[in-house]
Amino acid sequence: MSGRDLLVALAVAASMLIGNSPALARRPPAAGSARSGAAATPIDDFERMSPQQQQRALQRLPPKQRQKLQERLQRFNQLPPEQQQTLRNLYNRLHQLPESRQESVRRAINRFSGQAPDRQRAMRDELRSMLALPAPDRDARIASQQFRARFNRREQGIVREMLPLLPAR
Amino acid sequence: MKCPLEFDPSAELIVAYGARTLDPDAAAAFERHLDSCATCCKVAAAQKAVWDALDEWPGIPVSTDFDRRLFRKIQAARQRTWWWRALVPLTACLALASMLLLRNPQASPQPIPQIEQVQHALDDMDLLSQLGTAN
Amino acid sequence: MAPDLIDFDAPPIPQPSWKSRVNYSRADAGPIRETCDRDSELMLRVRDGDQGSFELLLEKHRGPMIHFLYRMVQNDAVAEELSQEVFLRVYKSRGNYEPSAKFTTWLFRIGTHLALNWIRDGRNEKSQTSLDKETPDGAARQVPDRRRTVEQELLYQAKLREVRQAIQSLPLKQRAAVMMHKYEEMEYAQIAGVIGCSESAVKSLIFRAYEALRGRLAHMA
Repeated sequence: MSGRDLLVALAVAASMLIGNSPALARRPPAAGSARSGAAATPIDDFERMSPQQQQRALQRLPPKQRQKLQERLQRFNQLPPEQQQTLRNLYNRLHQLPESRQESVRRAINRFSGQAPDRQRAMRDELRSMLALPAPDRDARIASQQFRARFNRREQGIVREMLPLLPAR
Repeated sequence: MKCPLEFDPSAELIVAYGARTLDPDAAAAFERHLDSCATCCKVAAAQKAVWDALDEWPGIPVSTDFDRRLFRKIQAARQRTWWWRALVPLTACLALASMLLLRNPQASPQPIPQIEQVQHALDDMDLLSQLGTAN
Repeated sequence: MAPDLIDFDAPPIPQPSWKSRVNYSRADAGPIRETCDRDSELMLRVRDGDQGSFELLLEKHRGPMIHFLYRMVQNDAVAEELSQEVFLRVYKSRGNYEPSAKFTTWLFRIGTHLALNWIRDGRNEKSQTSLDKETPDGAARQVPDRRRTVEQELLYQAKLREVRQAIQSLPLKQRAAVMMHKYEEMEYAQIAGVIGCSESAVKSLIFRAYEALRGRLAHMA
């Protein structure tokens, strides 16, 4: 425990004594929060909780982690609404997959981010261009010689693994 | 194409085919060979079954306090006498926590599982945001 | 977060049809940059005292390392403890770090070493959760898939148990090599760097392992 931790503990304690922590005061619904019809993520569920419930939930974390989580939530809430919605959609599609497939997709995204910017762009364009295709056509495209010629083996794997993130057509 | 199992009993090519790491030309040639070779067909199907079965085995989620525990160990390694200095603020924190519990019994820890899910969701959001343009 | 996020839900970008794109070649793809190795750069910064870089490395690699160790020792609590030890050792060794290999090679060398030692010491016999138990180890920390019926869940758990038993039956180095090949998608050369043997020895380990696994798991097709 450091002096900073103590300060955080004191700050949290003080806010509990006063009532609601200003940092946790109920925010107005973010412009990008889950719209009706779109599946809510755990972040949206958390945002819907009362300040007291949020406080109690956060209490389970050690101070440093709690602070980090609050910062991350704030960063997410400050994203433009369209970006939040895009992330929600991607998140929900990811979580519709079985656990093991989710892990493959996560690994693919990590590999994707390790590629050179121009190759990321090529893969992104490829995925975008598959949007209009129904699933069998996407598979056919992945299997095509042209696709294999355009991307190296690693990239082929990345695109293939990321396919479930595309909305179904 | 000559049967790969004849000159490569270890089935390196079949493993690579199952892992989809074969060069496109080699994969196409092997697929043509599969049409006429029952042995390779059987091994390739078995290898695919292994691959798919291993895919079914998920990892485990990371504990929410993993980093905290690690940094505590790092801290301890960095400074063995650290706990003496921590004793005073720790005592203060404990005293404060006890005081709080007395004044505000509702603040007692109540298991609300969502917080881990929120953390995992944020992890995923961060990961997914890596799909952003590289420019 | 990235300022301009890919939006798969947006209308597709108009592009020439796939079939009309005839001029693709490997040359068009440009040089494929080796990802080797931003992690080493981060580790060099850790060596120079940058705590933030260590946190970045931890954030990126703690998940894969825990998964790898979990599959090696098949006990979630032990996997976490060993992972902690891995990152503790990384931190303690920061002063002597030299990027002679990919960072992940070094990282997994430490992880593999710890896992093999733990298993060889026989500590697993006392603390490992029995594979015969109804709830396989680790399952308790996994969110059940609500889309599966009870029957499907039972089948899934039985299948999982069989997979775990098959992996556990492999000799240790084969087990480590297959885990890195399958789940970490490492090249043979990198696995060789981790295990400390030749590339041909790694190939041999991996092919023998897959042969054994085919014998045990082929019926799952």
